[in-house]
Amino acid sequence: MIDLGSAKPGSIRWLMAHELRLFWRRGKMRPKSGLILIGLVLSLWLVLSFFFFQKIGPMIPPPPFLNGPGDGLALAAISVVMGFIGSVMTSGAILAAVDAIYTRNDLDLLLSSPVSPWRVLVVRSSAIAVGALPLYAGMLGPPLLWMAVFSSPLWLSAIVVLATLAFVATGLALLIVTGLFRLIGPRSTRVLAQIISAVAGAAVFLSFQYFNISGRGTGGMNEDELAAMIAGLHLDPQAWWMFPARAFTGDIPSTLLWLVAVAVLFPFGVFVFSRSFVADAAAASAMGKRKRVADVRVANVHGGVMQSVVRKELRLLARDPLLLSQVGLQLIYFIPLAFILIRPDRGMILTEAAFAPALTLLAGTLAGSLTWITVSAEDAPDLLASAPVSAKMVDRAKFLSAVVPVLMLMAIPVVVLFVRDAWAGVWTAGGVIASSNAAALIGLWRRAPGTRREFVRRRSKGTLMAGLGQALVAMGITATAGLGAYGWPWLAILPAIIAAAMLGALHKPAPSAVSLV
Amino acid sequence: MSTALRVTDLAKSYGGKRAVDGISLDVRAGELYALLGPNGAGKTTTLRMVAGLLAADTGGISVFDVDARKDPLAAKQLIAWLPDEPLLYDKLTAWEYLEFVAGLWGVPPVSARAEAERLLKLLGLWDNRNDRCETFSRGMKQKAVLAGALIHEPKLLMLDEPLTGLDAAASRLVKDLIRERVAQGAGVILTTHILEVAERMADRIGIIKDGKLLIEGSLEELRNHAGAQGQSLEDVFLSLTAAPSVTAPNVAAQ
Repeated sequence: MIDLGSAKPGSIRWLMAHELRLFWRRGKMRPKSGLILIGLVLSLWLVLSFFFFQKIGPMIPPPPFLNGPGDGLALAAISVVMGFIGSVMTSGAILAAVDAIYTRNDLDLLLSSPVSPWRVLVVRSSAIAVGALPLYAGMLGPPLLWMAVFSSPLWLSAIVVLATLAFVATGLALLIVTGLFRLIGPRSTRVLAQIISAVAGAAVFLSFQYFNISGRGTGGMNEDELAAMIAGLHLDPQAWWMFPARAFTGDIPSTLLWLVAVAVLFPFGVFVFSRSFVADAAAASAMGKRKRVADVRVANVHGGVMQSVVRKELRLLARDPLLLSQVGLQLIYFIPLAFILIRPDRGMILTEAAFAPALTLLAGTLAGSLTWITVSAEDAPDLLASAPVSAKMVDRAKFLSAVVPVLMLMAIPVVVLFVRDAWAGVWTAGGVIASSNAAALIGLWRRAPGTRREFVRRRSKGTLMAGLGQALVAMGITATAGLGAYGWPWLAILPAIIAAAMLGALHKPAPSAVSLV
Repeated sequence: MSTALRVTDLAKSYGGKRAVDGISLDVRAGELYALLGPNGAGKTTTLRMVAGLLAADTGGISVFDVDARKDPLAAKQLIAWLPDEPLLYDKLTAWEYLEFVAGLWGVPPVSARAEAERLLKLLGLWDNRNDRCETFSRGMKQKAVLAGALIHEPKLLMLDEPLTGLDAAASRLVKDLIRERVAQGAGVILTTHILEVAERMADRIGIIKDGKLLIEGSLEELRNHAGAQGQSLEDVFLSLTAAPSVTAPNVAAQ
């Protein structure tokens, strides 16, 4: 599919073909079957969106949106969507740029060749941008195409803006990573950049929720109130900050301005990044080799087989801020959920009972993550398997290492709940214990070996059935805790039975020591 | 001299292919046995089965008369396994790593502390004891893993390519440590592609190919069998492994 042969070796086209070949082969599927599957899904999506937009297309007002607060609101909404997509793209590009500096992979080979380093890094940066496109192009391409057909051809501008947005995001990411390197050095950049990446991905989502949480949402408003609120926002469609949204909707001057911005920002990002790349990469490889002050302490040695494994697991967890931030991000996503659950104006009773399902689900999610880290992402399985300890004992230690921190974390809100409402506290405690234990057991039974760096993609390592089963168990226990806490204990029996049955179906005898590896 | 390791008719297949095909060998206490063979011959698979990392299809493994297949935990208590890739915990310090390994083998904390200090000083890692392993070079990692392998004073030491990635000084240090263990009565079995190491250090050498033990004995016995008197182990090895596989005799017994 990608032909290196027709391009001149060392040319940008040749390097790009090399990048695309690597990108294409990164997937699990064979290239041919992958292409067929993607083609089928896209065709189906194209057909489905055709029928949908054939009906609603003519009702969508044709762009550009340049007059009045109504158009301003439309542009603001488009800006938010672009902000969301851009933040996710920036997040991915930050990770890719950090990876380029710290692991370099084939960059050492490419940069040691007589090909210009600038050309190599332009192509690598473009590949980062292109790599962010397929998902959004696939999701938004067909609807935008039909909107161009059934509403206005100006929507075609959206496709151009969407494609170039990836290059803006990549340029921005390269500047962020280079800036961090200058400011805080190689040791902290990796971790901080990855945390920024994680937060950038969630930023727009959390902003939405802030809007919701702070009671500024539109829920419960009638049309007059809504119109008054829009007028009160004074959204001027000609505002400077809305020019990307205007470009998205086909305003020609804004589109030209957008393209100029892309043509400046992306090469500038690549220029800044590549100028210091070699020095930064060298600094990254020399990490830990700098002259240091010798630590002359001699710590005590503690014994005990079980204690040794638990101590090791807790030390590894505590010393991996990136992993902790990724685990902690799950907590951030639950904050808005908890607020949504207890919002009084949604007609939901504002009681402590609302926390039962939220904390139950959170405990299960956290315990599942920690179990994957301790069980599946074991760094030295051979060492454990060759030690004179039974696999069961190692599993018990790892189980404790995953569940105990979760229970300790949950103990505070559960105790507060118990003091305020004993009934809700009891159901929440039960839910938290059950969900964290169930998640840890599933992690032990259905281990999917990987490395800690693969934490974010850990779900792709297990089987689909195990993933579905785990979700059903979590939902069953969550529903049980919720129904119980709201005063329907008899109704809670049904999801409890479903969760128990599913847990039984997922049970798999623990592997023996020799197959732990 | 007692037998440190006895392997009898050991076999292992992967997807119908015999990776190890009825290997039998003995390693005596106080002896260094070098297991040699071309890539993919079955050396590592054999050692992994002895270490309890792989289940054998058939055959017997006994470590100082403990049946390793019936009582793997008792056998593991006597064994140290050093893989070719030094797998460490990046976020643990060298000291904590040794503390962890000592904990796994049930070494009392007081002895573990003294032994950890001795080994780290011996291997030149004492000043780095509180550094995390992620900052170590390949050679330092190899030394840390070796210290971990020795901290419980194993009676059978199994080393898979122990000198890979080590500089000359570190390599000498490791060889000295191995000799020291042998002199103290431990059995040592190692695999290596550096034939000079086997030539200089091994009491006996076994050569395997296609999962079968072709031949075993002292270097002189191997030379005699190959009709290559006065030649290097490399010449002997190449002449023996180039020939079609035959079931190996114990030339010492002939």
